[in-house]
Amino acid sequence: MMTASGAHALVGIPGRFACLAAVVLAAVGGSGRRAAWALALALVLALACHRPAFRALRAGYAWIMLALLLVPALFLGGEPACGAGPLRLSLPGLALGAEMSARALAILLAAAGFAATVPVVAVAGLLDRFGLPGLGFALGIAVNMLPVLQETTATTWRAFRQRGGFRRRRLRSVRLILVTLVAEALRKAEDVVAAAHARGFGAARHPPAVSWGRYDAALAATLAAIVIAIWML
Amino acid sequence: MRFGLRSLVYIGVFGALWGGLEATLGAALHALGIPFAGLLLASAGMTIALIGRLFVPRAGSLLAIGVVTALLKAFSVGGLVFSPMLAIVVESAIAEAVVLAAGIRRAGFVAAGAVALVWPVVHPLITQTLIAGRGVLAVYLEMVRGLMRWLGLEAGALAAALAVFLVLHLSAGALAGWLAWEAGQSAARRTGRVESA
Repeated sequence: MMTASGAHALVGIPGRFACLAAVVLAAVGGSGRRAAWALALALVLALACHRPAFRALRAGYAWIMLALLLVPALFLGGEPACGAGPLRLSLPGLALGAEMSARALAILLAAAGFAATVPVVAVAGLLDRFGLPGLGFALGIAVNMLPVLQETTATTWRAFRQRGGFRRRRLRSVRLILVTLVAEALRKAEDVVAAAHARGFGAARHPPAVSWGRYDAALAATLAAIVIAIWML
Repeated sequence: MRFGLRSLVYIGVFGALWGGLEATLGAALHALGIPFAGLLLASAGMTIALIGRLFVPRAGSLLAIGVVTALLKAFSVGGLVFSPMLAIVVESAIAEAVVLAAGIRRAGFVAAGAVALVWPVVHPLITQTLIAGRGVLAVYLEMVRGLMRWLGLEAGALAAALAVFLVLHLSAGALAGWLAWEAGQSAARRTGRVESA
């Protein structure tokens, strides 16, 4: 998940979080020209700190989302910008659509950049540190248990189908599957608890340290100033 | 929110169950283009989370299961899942609040499921307003007006359709809560393991 770019060593998790927060605040807090500035900020940060963000633009649904914001707005009414015959494109609609698309694109780039460059365990570590202790541990358990539980689910489903489940009394069948799944999951959970106890592993641990980059503090301060400047436009 | 080792393991396991459901059932439902796939998925997820709340009877455990599921979703899909992640966390938070208010009993679970499943009705409007601004509401309103003119419908028909949609979500949520209580009790009897924090 982490990139091997040069910016990685200079910008740590707090710096990347500051980038995301700055773009979201600039985009959400502004309208009109401010949305364009928020998009400019998102583009500059993506280029400088998290280039994998641009991968998000390769996804077809990102463009569908932007089209869904822009196209209906063109027919909003008001002063016509241009058009032929009965088809009239609205000038206020064009402005509104452009503003909405700029805001959405800015947030999309910032969120994709954050997700592509910050490992989920680091996010869990942040949550651990800020009021949700043990969540990183629970997430680790979930990641490890996911394939096992998916296999259990598939086996239970196949066994149930082979025994003629779902032919009648479907709600009861769903309930029986759920009971089997939960009972199996709990058995596996108890194995994990026993193994953790045997290794002397307790949940009362210090949360993992947050890795600060060299320029995180300066970056956060600069971004705060930029966001305030955008708001004051 | 501080949980013991066993509670954290249970939270992880129920988060994995919900996350696995999102990955497998969610992908299948969306690929098959089944109507109300989101509602089915949210109901199934809420059932799992509420069963988890039964086995970890501590304040905040349902929310923690939701947060783990949301993070798992980000981990498995990679980026651009902000909207479903937010939906999972908010649904869990709503259900947690209702269970805290109504207590861990059948009626509390039914109420929690029903109220939590109202969120998917308003979720797209709220997230899109957050992302694209309030202008998106004006655009949607104009689109709905245009559609109603085109279909020759009156405002009453729209209100009736919205009411049916809302009742459908409430009913699905209530069913999820009831199923969670019944299945959870049966699983507790079968394993003899109701968590004592």
